[in-house]
Amino acid sequence: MKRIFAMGEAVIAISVGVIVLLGYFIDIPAISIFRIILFKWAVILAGVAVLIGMWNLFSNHLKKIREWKPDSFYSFTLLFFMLLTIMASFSPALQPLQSGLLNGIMVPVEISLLAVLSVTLLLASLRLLQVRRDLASILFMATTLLVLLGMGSWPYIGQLPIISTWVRSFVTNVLAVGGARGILIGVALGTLTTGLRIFFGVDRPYGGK
Amino acid sequence: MSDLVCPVCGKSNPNTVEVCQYCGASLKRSSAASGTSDLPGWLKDIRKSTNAEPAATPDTTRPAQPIEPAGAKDVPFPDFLAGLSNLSDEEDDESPDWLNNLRGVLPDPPLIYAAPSMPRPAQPPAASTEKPPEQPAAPPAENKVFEQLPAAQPQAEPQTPNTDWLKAFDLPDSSGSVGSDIPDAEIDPAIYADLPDWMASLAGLGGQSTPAQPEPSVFEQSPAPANEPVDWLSSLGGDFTAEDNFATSESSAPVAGETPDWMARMSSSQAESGTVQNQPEPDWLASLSSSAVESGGMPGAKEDLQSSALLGSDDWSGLRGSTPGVFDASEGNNPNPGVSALDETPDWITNLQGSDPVSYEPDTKGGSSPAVSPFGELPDWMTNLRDPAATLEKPDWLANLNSSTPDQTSSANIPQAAETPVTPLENDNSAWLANLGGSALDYKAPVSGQTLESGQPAPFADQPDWLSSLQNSQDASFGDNPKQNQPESHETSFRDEVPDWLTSLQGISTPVDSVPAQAQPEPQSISDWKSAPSVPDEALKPNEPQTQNQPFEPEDLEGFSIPGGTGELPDWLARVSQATAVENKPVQGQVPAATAPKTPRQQANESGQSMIGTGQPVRSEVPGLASESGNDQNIDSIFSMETPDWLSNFLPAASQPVSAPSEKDSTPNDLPAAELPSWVQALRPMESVVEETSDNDEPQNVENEGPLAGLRSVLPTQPGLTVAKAPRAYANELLINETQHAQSALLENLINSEKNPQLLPKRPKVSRIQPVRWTIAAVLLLVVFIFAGLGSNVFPSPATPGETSAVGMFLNTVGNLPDNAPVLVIMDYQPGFAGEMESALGPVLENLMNKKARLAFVSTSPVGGLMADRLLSKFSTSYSYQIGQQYVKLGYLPGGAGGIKVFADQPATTLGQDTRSGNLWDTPVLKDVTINSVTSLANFAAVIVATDNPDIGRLWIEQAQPVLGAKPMLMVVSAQAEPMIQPYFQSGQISGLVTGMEGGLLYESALGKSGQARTYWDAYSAALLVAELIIIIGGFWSLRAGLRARRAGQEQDEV
Repeated sequence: MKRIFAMGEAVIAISVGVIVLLGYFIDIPAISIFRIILFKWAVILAGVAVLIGMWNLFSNHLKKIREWKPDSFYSFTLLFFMLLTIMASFSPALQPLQSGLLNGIMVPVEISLLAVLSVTLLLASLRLLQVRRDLASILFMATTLLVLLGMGSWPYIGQLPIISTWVRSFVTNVLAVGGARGILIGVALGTLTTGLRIFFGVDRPYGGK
Repeated sequence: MSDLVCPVCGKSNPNTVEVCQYCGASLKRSSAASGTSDLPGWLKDIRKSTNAEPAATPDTTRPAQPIEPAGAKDVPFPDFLAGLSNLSDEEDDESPDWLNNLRGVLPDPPLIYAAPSMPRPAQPPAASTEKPPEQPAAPPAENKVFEQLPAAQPQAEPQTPNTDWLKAFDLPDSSGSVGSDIPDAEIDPAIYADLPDWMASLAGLGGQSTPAQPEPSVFEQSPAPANEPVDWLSSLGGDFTAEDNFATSESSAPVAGETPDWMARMSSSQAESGTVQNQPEPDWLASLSSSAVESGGMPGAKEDLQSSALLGSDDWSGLRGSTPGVFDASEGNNPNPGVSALDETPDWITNLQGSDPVSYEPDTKGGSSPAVSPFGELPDWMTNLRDPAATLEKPDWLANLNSSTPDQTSSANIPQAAETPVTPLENDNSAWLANLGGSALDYKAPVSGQTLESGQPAPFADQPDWLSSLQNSQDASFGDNPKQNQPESHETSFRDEVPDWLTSLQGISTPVDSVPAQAQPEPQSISDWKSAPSVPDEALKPNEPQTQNQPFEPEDLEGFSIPGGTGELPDWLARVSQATAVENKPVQGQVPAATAPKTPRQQANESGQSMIGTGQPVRSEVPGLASESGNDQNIDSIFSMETPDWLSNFLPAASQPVSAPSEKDSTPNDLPAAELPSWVQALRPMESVVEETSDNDEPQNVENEGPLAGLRSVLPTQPGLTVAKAPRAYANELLINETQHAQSALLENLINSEKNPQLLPKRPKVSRIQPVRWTIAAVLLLVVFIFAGLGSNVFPSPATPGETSAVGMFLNTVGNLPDNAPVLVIMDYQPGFAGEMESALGPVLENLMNKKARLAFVSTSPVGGLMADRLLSKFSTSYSYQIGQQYVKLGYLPGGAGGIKVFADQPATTLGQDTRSGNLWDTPVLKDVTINSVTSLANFAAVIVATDNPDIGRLWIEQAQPVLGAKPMLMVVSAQAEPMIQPYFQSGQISGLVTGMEGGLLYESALGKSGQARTYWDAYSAALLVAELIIIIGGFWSLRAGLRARRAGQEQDEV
């Protein structure tokens, strides 16, 4: 029976993939309609998955609170603001609260994290040459300095003419874009390969193998 | 190594001791006595009866060299089978059935020879004949029949079914003898009905050619008995002289009671010669007879032929012709040295019959006989057998079996026998086959010339029952007068069960016997030779050498082809005929019939002593044989029966007499090794096979109970016939080269290295930089706060973007949008990037609001809607955008790429419909997005994607941009996503790109407005400078620290 289920899953996945793929290349109304239906099912399922995730998060932290573990305080805080956000979402009277939660908690917290990140990255650059004194490290540090010099402006000077206009542009629009394109091509090939493997049932991320 | 079994305690003792190690009893007892102690009851009884007989029959023909009794003192082991020949009714009760069947068919030798000395009852043994042949009591009854002789047979034969075919072996003898007594016997034509054609033709041949063959001359003109073609069947029982047929009538009765029908028919075919006479002679048979006469070239050949045929040398006995040669040799004559058909006869056949001639060939009259010479080519062991001392090496069973022959002959009391030494072939041939050739054994007595003492046990005492029974079939013929026996009814009983091939062979014998030339009646019909039984009486007279068998002649077998049966002849038989044809003619022509030697039986008749009438105990008179009769290996050899060696190694040339050297040289010896017929092989005891496969060195087990109690190695010790062998040893070393050896060593090291835990590399010491971290953070915060708090404008803005730049194209695209156009804005950035994204997206939205664009916000992030509200709230003071009026939030779009795709294809059915807000696609914001009831992204004036994640931006470009068609897609991205989105801009998939704070500042600059970007620009630039300085300073400091550490390490190493 388990094998039958696995086979059924593979058949469904492959069939859906084939139909969606054909919808990209062939403009057949029947296929397009069916493909849209499948996409809508995917959107609904993804939304439900978010709800399930939220429920999972809520239940786990609630469990920690019940067990009175040492870190249960953080769980309590999480659950409190989760419930508060949900309540603010459904209650029109609490709509302004949503903006306060976003602007007063979410945005400053996340920005602070990024600020700490900047400090951390800066400290890492200092330690890089202390730990690894090789060419790659030196090259990395040099590139970083050039890009930073080109991004910002000097007081009263503005942006450095050569560095900002030519060096930084060369680094970002040539070197970085070249690397990015390579990454994108690799991603595309990987996606294609993954799709083919799923088509042929070699990979079954949905289970069964 | 055999041990002595103590007769008292029954335990085995080594051979060297004389007193039992266990009980102290003396082991120096006669073998017979000791043997009887171990013997079962039935054997003991046998022995008793055997020992009693010699006393009753005093030896009158005892030679000068008395033979030691079988149970000689040098024989430590009992002769268990001694006295088997005297088996009585009581004995059979304990014997196995198969023994009874074999033995019961034929009379025991002692009784056979004792019969003449005893008064023969006139009453026929009706009881014995009426008994079923399978019953164990049959053999005793047969013995009685032998004693009672002729009168019993006519009554017994017709009624009793013959089930033991072995009995038929004596039928040729009996028939031969009876044939002489029953001249008018009619041959039942039905016996040929069942025969195959060629067999039937053979039978017809014999019947018709018989008159033309001078049978009596066969004995006289066969100078080289060893070379005689082998008639194994005749040797089984048919090789008798007319004098020997006196026992036929006695033996026939029991035989008829248990012999099969075909055997009965075989005998009857000879006996009933009167009926055969009436049958027309076929052409081929006539030619055979004529050829026989011609080849013989001697007068009286026909008579000899008849006599031989009627004397019991049944039809195919002429193939053998052994007996004549034997007699010739014994008499010192070499009448027909050219008869060397044995050169091409199969070995087994030669051996079967070779015992006959060889036993008589040594001339006892001074060695003048050329027949002595044949042993010149014999192997050493066979030559040694000639020496009585050498015979000690023979197996006991063989010696005993051979010893039985002199006993018989001694009873015949032939004078030549006393001077004739023991011939090798007597010992050579295996006893069981020698017994089959009963005639040979019968004539050993003249050769040995020794008689046994009265107290000696029976010669067949050591023989197995089946051997004894086989020989009894012949012995029975000796003990009776042929003329008194062989009624027609007896012969008719054979007709029914005689096999076809035997029946046909009967017909062959007569042409073969026609070789010697003697006065013979005209071969007018089959009845002539069938009626010939009367002839042997004349032919076998002492002075007439024209008796018994004659050597094989080629014409005899050639005649087979005439009736059309040649094609069906066995190969070996055909070859025999061919080979003999080459040899016999000149020989026969050289040897006059008148000079044919007398057979021992003839001589015995001349001397007025019947072989039976001597009353001699059946003992071996050959010293060597007698000495071995009680040897240690008697019992073992009897049951081992390793005879195939001589069968395979004994070549015809070895048995060829020296007396015919010229013929031997000319004789082609191309016959392949003979193969024993299946029935002969079946006669061999199973123990022989077991013995061959078993190891001789292994201890021999002694049976403790049952009828085989006391016997050694009777039963195989291993379950099967196969011998378990030790497993073959193979070399353990592998043949590998150096490379393979190195690889194997490497693999071994790898495996061993897995066992050793690997130490992790030491973590390099890192100085605590926590204060540095705080220092860096403090510096950065201080710089940012200073420049942001002061609101300085120290850092100038970047230059105005060009039109071909990403920002410039974005500006152009947005500038080209119509007013109040619906614009879809995807808010896919996280709150943490709000400072950067709002600095970049804010100028764009402000530009769109300037155009009064209807904005629809959608996000793949749950906080996208909130971020849109946050951003719009910044412009709320400048622009009066209300939700549902100027902008709408379509909500959260889950599903990743799939959600984007389905939203791009059918946005109205994917988002924008809920219970609280209703259908957003029907709101004034999106009123012109749905055209002709078709809602599409292409109906938006532009799609602006604001994201900090390059992957999300890529998904929107890949999934939604194709749907837009000619509508522009613009992107506002974070600075970190620029490298990934820049290619799509360069490819034209997106129409404009605003990147980070710098892009926003440029956009603001292009619009001529000072916005958030400009507010943050000094702080941002100052922080970048500080960061750059920190990196540079820190880098140099780290580099210096590293160099210092290396130097310190080197110094430590140097120290």
